[in-house]
Amino acid sequence: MRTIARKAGFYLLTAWAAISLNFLIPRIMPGDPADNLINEFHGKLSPSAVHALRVLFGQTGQNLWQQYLSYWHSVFTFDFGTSYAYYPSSVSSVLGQSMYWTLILITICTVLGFVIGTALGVLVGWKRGTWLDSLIPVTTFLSSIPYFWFAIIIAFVFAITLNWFPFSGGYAVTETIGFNGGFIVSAIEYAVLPAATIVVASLGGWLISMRNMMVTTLSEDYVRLAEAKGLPRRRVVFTYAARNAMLPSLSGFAMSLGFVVGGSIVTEVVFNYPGLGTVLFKAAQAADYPLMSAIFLLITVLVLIANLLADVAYVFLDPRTRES
Amino acid sequence: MTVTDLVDATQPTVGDEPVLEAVDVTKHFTVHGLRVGRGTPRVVHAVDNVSLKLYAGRITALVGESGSGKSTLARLLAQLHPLTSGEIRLHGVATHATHGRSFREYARRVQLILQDPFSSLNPVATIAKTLHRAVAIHHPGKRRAERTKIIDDLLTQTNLVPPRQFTEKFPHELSGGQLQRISIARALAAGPEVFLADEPVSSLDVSIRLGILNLLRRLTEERRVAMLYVTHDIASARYFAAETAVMYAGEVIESGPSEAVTQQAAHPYTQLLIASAPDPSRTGKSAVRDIGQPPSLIDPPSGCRFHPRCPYAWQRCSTEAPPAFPLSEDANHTARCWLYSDDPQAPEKRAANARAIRKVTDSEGEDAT
Amino acid sequence: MALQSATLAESESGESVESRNGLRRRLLHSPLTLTGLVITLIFVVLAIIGPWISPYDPSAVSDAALAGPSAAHWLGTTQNGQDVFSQMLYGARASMIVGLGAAVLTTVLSVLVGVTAGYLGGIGDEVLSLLANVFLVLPGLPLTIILAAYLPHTGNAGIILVITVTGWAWGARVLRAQTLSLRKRDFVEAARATGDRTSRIILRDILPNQVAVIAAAFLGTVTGAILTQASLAFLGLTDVTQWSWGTILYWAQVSSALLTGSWWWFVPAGLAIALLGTALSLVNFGIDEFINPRLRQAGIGTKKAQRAQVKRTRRSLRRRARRERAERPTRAPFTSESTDLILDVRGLKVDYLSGNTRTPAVDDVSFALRRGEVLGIAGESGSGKSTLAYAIARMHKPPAQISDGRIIYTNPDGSTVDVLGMSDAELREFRWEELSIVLQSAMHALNPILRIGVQIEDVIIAHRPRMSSQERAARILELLAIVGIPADRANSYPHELSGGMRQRAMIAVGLALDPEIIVMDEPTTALDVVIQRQIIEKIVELKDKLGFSVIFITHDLSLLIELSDTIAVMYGGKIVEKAAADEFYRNAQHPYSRGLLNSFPTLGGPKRELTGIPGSPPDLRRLPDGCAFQPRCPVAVDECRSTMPPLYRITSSTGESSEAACLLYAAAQSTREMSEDGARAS
Repeated sequence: MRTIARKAGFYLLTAWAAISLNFLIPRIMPGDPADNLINEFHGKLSPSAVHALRVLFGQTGQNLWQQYLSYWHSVFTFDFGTSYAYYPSSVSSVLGQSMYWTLILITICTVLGFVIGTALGVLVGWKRGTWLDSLIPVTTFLSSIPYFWFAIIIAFVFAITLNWFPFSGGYAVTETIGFNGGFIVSAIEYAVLPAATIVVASLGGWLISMRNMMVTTLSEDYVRLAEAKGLPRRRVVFTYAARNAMLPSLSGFAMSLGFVVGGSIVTEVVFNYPGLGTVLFKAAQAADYPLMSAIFLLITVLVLIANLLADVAYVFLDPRTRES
Repeated sequence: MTVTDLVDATQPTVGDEPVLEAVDVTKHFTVHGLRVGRGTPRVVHAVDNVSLKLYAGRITALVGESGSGKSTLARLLAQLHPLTSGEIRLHGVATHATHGRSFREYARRVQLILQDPFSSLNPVATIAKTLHRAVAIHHPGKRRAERTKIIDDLLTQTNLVPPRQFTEKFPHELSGGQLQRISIARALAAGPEVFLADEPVSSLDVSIRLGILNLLRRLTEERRVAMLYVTHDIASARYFAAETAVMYAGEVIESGPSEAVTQQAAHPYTQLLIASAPDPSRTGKSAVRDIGQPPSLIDPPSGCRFHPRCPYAWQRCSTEAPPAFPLSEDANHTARCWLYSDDPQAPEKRAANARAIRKVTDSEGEDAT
Repeated sequence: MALQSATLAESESGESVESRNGLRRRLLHSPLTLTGLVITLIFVVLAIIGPWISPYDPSAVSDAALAGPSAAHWLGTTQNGQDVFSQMLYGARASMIVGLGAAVLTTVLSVLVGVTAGYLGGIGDEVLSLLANVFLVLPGLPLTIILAAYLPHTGNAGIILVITVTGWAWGARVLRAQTLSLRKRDFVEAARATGDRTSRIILRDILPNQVAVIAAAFLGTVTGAILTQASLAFLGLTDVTQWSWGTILYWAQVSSALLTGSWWWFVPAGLAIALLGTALSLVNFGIDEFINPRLRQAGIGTKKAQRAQVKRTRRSLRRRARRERAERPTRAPFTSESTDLILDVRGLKVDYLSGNTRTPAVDDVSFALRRGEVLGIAGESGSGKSTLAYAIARMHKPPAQISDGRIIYTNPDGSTVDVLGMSDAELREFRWEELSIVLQSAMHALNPILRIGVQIEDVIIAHRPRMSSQERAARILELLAIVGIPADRANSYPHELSGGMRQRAMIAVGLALDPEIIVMDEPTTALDVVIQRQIIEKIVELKDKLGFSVIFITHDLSLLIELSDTIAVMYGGKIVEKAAADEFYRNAQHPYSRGLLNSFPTLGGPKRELTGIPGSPPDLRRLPDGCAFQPRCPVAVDECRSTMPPLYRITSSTGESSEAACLLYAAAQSTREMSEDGARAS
């Protein structure tokens, strides 16, 4: 438990760092984007949107410390001002709508990609030296593909050419959002292509790292001894080899997760999926700074939570991290 | 390749001054890690109040098990770690030189030889590169050709002939014995007065250990170098060192002339160590009845650190740390054990100890030819 | 020594680090790595000369809008009739500049932070590694997007900067860990003790040993940076008028190239990125395999090779009834006159295959193990003793291969079976039921994530499926008790036990099914003498009580003489002497055995003269001609250089017999004289 508490402390610290970074970036960037923007929109911005911009860039006449405190206040009240990409919605309401799409899509796909990739990695590692090894260059290629380009190709083949799945959006416009059968079926139908993109593009990385760790672990004395002891193959593969081999994969989860999340965000853009990625894209196009920084914070917090979960799993799998 | 009785030839002469001396040296390592709360940081008592003298032309053995602090002491003498307390005296002068110019000057005079020759040489540098570096540090301003000559000379001295056969090789192309000779040549480059050899032969094959030890002994005698021979093998201390100090849990618990320490071991731990060492000349079962293990150095036992494992311990042993008592047989032979004090309980315990020892020696001996 | 790490990986956990020449050679030898290098090179060349060989101005508008690939436009045109091929060529340069630029900057930063933190340690290290860890868990792309958005329409320099800021942490963390472990390595300590400067130690000792890791980090960052740049460009966060692979995709996306079906517009750019990424990853795999030698051997462990491990025809085996525990009759203790063979190894030969060469590590080894006997096998590094241990249990892995010989096991009912002829199922039953093995390092031989009790239970479940869980629990406690582990330790993990306790646990695993034979490969080498003594006494006590036979393998001859009934000495893959332990100690015959006996100092009795053996143990790949020991032998004659002596039987004056492979004993009638000659000469 001490380990987990320490990890949680570390993630709190990281969250603090990210939130403070988000506060600092607009203030240390060169030039004066706020004025540029306000001039660009000349008067089309509502006073509240202008105010939000001024707050973001620290042009409210308060000193830095006061700004920092009121910034924290807005973080805790989810008050990030008004979005002008989605004017007149507030930033938090835009996020509230799009967050769930992303959360569900990415959670399921990340887990699927990890599970499938790791399982395949166990298999390829165990059967090292067979034809399965020739999969390695293929998966390497898959994992080198930019997510968004893979998304384009998938969309081109399955949505445009074959017309099996819908191409754009998150659900059919004829359905109303809610917990009803028609909507759910439609949402699943629309999610198939983005999900397939993320799963296929992410599993290659997991596969290769798991395969390499499997090969390394299989030459450990304890695995050889387990075979010699006459244990059933399943026990040797899973409890002796795979469980040990998975540990580095899990501890590298943080970095990979950031990568997968980044890829998924861009994937959403291609499919015009109504999640955070598409919103971020639109915000970036419109230079909607309040929306962008709020999205950054949200994603960061979600990634940190996912990391904490991975750490809990790690502690569960590796007794050495548990202190007596 | 023959060892004659070396001990007689190198008995200390009266009035001999030690070259290097550790005086009440203590080293505590702080346990690192971000520990929230829990009061004071935890400390490993690696070496506690150890005094040791090294004399010119003489080998002193430091014997102990892993974790006894013997390697730490060697590194402290090499000034690789700062001391927690105590002093290191070079020719009687307290020296503190952990970095910079003063450390280089100190390193020139006191050289360390490490245990594992396979890892103590940079794997991606040729032997010549490694040796050139060592020579350049201690002979600044010499031309390359001159340095090469010095290197050839060093390799010849360590029996690596012809030198050119070794200089252009990488460490993985040489055998363990050859690598250890190169380590010794590197240490020689400085022309040191003191050699600190940390288990110099432990990771070598049995058949080549003797050659390395003989080389070290020859260098000690020819160059009048003071040598500390750190080892876990008390039998080799008997053969190669004039004097032996035995460490347990960070403390020197017995020291004296090697023959006395190994043949009339006084401290129950030294006795245990000797009884445990494999020895084919011993017949019958040994009398070792010990299931304990060395204590935690984070929280060492009170009093004598060996008392929880000691079959002769009594009340006093668990409360008071014993000082070094001189043993009647030899004034140089001392043991930190209450058995040799004038405590009223001591004579009875001493007799019990003597009985146990006699039982072991009785079963030996008949075959010792 | 190189042999040990390269081919005899069997017994060695430590791998020797190879020179950079080795890296170069290895990289060029793997076809995949070579492919990666070639593709990378092509892209680099295109990036350099691209703008000069480009057929059109990439921004030049023409009438041929959305035309498919043709002779005029190899990759077709865009909506505005711009030539996609020209855009690709110009884009290659931009992508490459960002990739390389960011990689150089990131790597420099990583090296600076990682090496500084790792080498200096202390507070500086804690702060720097905390910072690196924070940056590592911050999701990179969103942060990059934010940063890029605040620097709108920045050129490549801005993008490079942003990628560096978000990407340095990974390399820094890896390099810090590396530096930390290098700093603890002896050669760095030795350089410090020689009095070398810190800056020189870092430059000469630390960095050169990290070349592979730094290269891997560099190549990884190139791929990552090109991907990131493409993503940013695709999102329109870079200067979209500057041609890069990402901006091509951006324009394709905003012009709905998908809907118009103009695949030639968006396929090439993505393909180029993926291809370059794959190429760089392939090069990285090459480096990975270099860093992690175990991956190198992955290719050797093929099914085919495994099947070929034992090259002999399978012979039918009489099915044995499952022997239940405690069924074994109590036998009289072992005496030297016993002829009750349990294991008979005849002419065993184990080769290490590498390419077309076979290196014999065990060469024509024969010995017999009798019931209740402790057979000690002594040998130095490279003598083949560990290979022999693995081969007896058929636990050897490719590239090791048993190429000849028989291992005849005598069942309790008197029937015999050749271990080398057993099927997988028969082998599974034989191992642990009849023969178990205890390995040198209990730390490595116990699964770190399973409790000790579970690891013992695993064996019982596998072999005694009908045993109830209560019976199993009782058996585990019984086993722990007989090896001297407190019962509550059954629930401990290996790392919670001391070295001695772990080795006891290993022995408990070995005893779990009450086997007839236990092979012990240096079971006490890593332990201190006092603990070693405890373990040895425990082994002797258990052997007397349970009546199993032991093959005990070690380099420690003095330990072996004390412990064993019979001793076999190995040298250069062969047994050079076999004798009863007492006879061996009193009257060793082979010059090598005598040299060994005269190499170790004794504690008891008066000091004796130590002579040692000149030279070093031989490299198995380059064994000398004739007798392997002849170059080191004090009594070698010319004939020794040409003749490989077999084992000769020698009967000493006391009537004890032994065997030695030395020409001294070739002429049976002159045995005594020559033996005495030999003794004098040494």
